[in-house]
Amino acid sequence: MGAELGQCSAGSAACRLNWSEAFLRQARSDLCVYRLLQERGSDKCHSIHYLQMSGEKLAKSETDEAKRNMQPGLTHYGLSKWLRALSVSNADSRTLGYKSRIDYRSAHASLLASAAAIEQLAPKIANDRSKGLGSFMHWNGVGVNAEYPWGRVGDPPIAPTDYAFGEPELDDLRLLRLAMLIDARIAQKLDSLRVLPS
Amino acid sequence: MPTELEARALISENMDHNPDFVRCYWFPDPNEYRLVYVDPTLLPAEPGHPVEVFQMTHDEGGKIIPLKVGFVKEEEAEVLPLPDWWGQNWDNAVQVRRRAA
Repeated sequence: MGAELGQCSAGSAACRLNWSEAFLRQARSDLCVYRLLQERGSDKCHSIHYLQMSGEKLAKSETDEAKRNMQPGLTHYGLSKWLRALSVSNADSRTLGYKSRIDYRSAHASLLASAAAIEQLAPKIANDRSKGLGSFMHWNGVGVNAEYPWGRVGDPPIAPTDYAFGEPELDDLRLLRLAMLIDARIAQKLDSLRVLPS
Repeated sequence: MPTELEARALISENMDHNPDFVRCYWFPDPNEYRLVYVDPTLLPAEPGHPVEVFQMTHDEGGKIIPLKVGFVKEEEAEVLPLPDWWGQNWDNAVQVRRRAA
């Protein structure tokens, strides 16, 4: 029988998670789905969606709220802010294998552009863009997103499954590098939790 | 305690490497760096949410100092609420602007 609503169905250790750990674990799980989708050659909209969700949850796990064991705010756009936060921390960028902040920053611009692009593919932002409430280089005035069909008035709709997502920021290799950074950070943070005394 | 001189050095270095940062609010604190950078290229914050602050660390010659850092758009600076625990308001901040090229 399944767990009661609101109860944890996993082992007891998982039931004692704090907010930061819980977001880290879900970020890792989302990233696993991203990998599976990549391996199976699924439509790109799905892998982008899971990469965005993984990055967003990693970002939330590193907010001060989560680290104070409070539920982080339910915003959707933390990934690119988190990348900026990483770029101003010499200690954190070094632990991710970058020799210095300069080394990290040489990769940063490309990572940030890809993160900003996949954040733009959240349906709410895409909807705002289509109404002229925001802009983004490739998709100004168009509701391109990774989840729901979109279309201009009078034109036939386009389903995300049929869209190539071939913009330079969404190049597979660039997204893979972003996924590798997210993966490395999740692993590092989960490892650091494991060495803490219980 | 991070001194103003150390904070200014850190902020200036970060601005040198992040061309999108136009200025920074430094909130003096005895134990940690508290910085909010202004970056016009950000997506707008969602209504009703305070400044989103990340917990990082800064290595100052082998001494690890907590670094709390947030990012806002120009129009959100001095407008968005700071987190409840921040214990300071925007008036407590020292503004550090980008060095002239």
